[in-house]
Amino acid sequence: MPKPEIEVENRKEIYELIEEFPGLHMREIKRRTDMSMNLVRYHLGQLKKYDVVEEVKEGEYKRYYPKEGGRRVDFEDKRYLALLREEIPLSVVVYLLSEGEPVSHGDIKEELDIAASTLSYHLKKMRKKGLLEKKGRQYSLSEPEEISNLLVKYEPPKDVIDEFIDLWDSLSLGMIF
Amino acid sequence: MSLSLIYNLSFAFLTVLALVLSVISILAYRRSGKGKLLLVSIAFILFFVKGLWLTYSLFNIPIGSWAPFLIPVAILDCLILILLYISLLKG
Repeated sequence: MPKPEIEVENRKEIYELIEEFPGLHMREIKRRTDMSMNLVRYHLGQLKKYDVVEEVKEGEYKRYYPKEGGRRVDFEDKRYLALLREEIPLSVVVYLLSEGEPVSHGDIKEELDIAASTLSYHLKKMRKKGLLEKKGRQYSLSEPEEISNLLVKYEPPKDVIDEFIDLWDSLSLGMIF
Repeated sequence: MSLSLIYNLSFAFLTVLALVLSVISILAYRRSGKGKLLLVSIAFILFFVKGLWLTYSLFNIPIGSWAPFLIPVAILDCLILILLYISLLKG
């Protein structure tokens, strides 16, 4: 068992991560804090027990949200945030926002370069949650402005690849081409 | 620590680092589709090739006879710098 001060530090680290990126699931928290799964599970249990973190079951994942403070997540936001924490739904949303008009299944498939069946599964899930609308064969965001605000408010967590892209963008001088 | 061990460790580290950077940059290019990241990927792949070349030289060429084998290294360095420079200028 770690010393009490380390235990507090670990729990604080987990809470701050959840506060910064509401809607993370346990494995993602483990990856980002570099703690063992058992330790993360234990601290999440304690945070739930003291009612500072809320656990919401979303499909196969349990997602965690702060229950107090300025980053408390509204019920409506939570419904969308869980999806926006998944790579494919997030890519679909970003693509639809960048296009600004309804697009077909084929367009999204081509843009994301994923299998049609995988895309269909995610689109169905997104429609079921009310994130997407389908008119004829065209898909669009049900509330583009609100979803766009959510993406700004709760910035998606970045992995090493995103950090690399950001780094190179910030280094670029943009002088030619 | 002997000189050859330092060489071995340095080149091994360089090669592994180059491989990791190559993989990250290729994934970044695939995710973003940005041309400048393609140039960065090629630069890091060349960096990896350089690491392999140095490792090959280390095990097959006596240290005193390295001069001709350093010409490809200089060419690769030059290409890597040009690619990185162009990628930085690319908007």
